[in-house]
Amino acid sequence: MKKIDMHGHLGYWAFAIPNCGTAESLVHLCERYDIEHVAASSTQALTYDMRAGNEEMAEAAREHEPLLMYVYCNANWLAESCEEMDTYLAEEFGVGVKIHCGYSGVSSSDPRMYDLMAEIARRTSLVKIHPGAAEDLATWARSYPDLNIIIAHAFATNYPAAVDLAAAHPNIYLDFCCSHASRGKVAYTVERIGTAQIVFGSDMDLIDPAFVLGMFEEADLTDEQKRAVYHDNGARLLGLAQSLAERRTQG
Amino acid sequence: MVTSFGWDRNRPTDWGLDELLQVLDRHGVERAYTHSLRAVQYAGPEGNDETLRACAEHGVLAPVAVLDPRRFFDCREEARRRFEQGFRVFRFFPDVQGWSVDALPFRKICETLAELGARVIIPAGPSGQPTRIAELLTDLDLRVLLIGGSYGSLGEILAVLEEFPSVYSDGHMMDSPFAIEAIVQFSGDHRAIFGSDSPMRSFESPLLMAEHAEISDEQRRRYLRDNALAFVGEGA
Repeated sequence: MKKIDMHGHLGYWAFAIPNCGTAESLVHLCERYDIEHVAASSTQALTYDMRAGNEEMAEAAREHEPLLMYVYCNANWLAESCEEMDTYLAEEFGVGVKIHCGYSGVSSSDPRMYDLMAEIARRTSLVKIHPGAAEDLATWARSYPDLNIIIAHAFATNYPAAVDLAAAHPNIYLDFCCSHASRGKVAYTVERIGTAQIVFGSDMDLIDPAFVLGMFEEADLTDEQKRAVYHDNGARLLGLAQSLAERRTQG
Repeated sequence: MVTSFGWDRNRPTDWGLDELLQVLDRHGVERAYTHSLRAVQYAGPEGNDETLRACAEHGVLAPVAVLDPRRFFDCREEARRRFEQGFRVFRFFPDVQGWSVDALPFRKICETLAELGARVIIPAGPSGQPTRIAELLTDLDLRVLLIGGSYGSLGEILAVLEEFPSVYSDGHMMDSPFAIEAIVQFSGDHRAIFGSDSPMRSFESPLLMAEHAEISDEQRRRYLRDNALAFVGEGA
């Protein structure tokens, strides 16, 4: 089944992950798991140099069709983040924004993060955040109804709180990539909110997509539910739904 | 090599024996080494009795005894008694139970387990712990399976596998690309062992990792089955 991966990264991690860290390694994983597109942010941008990392990500996305770009924004540098968004969201491959409270050292409750989120909402309809406090996510979901917010990792082992948020806000989406593959996590979520607000995100190439796919495969989803999660929900958020429909008509 | 059954006190779920058996049946598991969570969270001997009963009733289950070095006074006696009852694998929980592998009771219990010819399962744990465990037990004739290593500890585990031939690694949390390939390679094909941590965690996640790993079919068979049998002293 075709997939769209809403959580990827380009670049190296400080761990023993052989054969990874490059655009080619992401494409290799896309081919291995039938992933049409992976929306990715730069690890260099997250962990060190926002501008150099975004530039590297853009270059990779230009050269490799499966790769789409989240522009990484850092609330410590609001003006520069706005410039980065204006540069890369104008590109066809620029599909949204990634923010990371941990790596930037700016919590979601910090006024600087609120300022950044306002700028993001002016420029795009998609942001992925890792991690964030439930009350801030709820505030943003209410304040910016046209902004779709993906909660990366769905709060990991505290996923019931993420499910509650999604149940209350139709513009909150969950991805479940996590080293702790809790059994029952997906089934619990589908029972509470259905599949419309679940996207497939792998965290490649920090995490192998197989590990995350296993959680979904274990959940006894119907083919229709799997198609929604693996592909169609992501396609809708990325604005690929129309081209998807066209391809099906053609097929 | 890594399953359990019982209550998870931290969430409203029942990971009971039926749940475990259902997962094993669904995936056609030939044998699962398991223990009662009662032995981890409450009382080792009572929990080990429960494990023994479950394994006697269900042929797919093989018993793992839990020893808690915090109650050192009877642990070596408990180890001998369980070995006589057929337990060959003994598992430790320094993370959940809050004790250090540097505590002398752990070493003394392991000396007894080595005398018995038993096997040990223990979490890879935080940075430094895989190395510490390997160094601490290297003079004993004792096979040790490190479990729960992930991308954060993989580098250290690979170094330990390369250096210490009595150390094995499981793959239930080896979630990064090429992690399975790496532990297979650094363990010389024979000391990488499949685990799932069922029923608490997804069986499919580590299974799909194994199925997609870029290793030979022979290496995959060893990883999924043969290496576990060799670890406990059966087969090759």
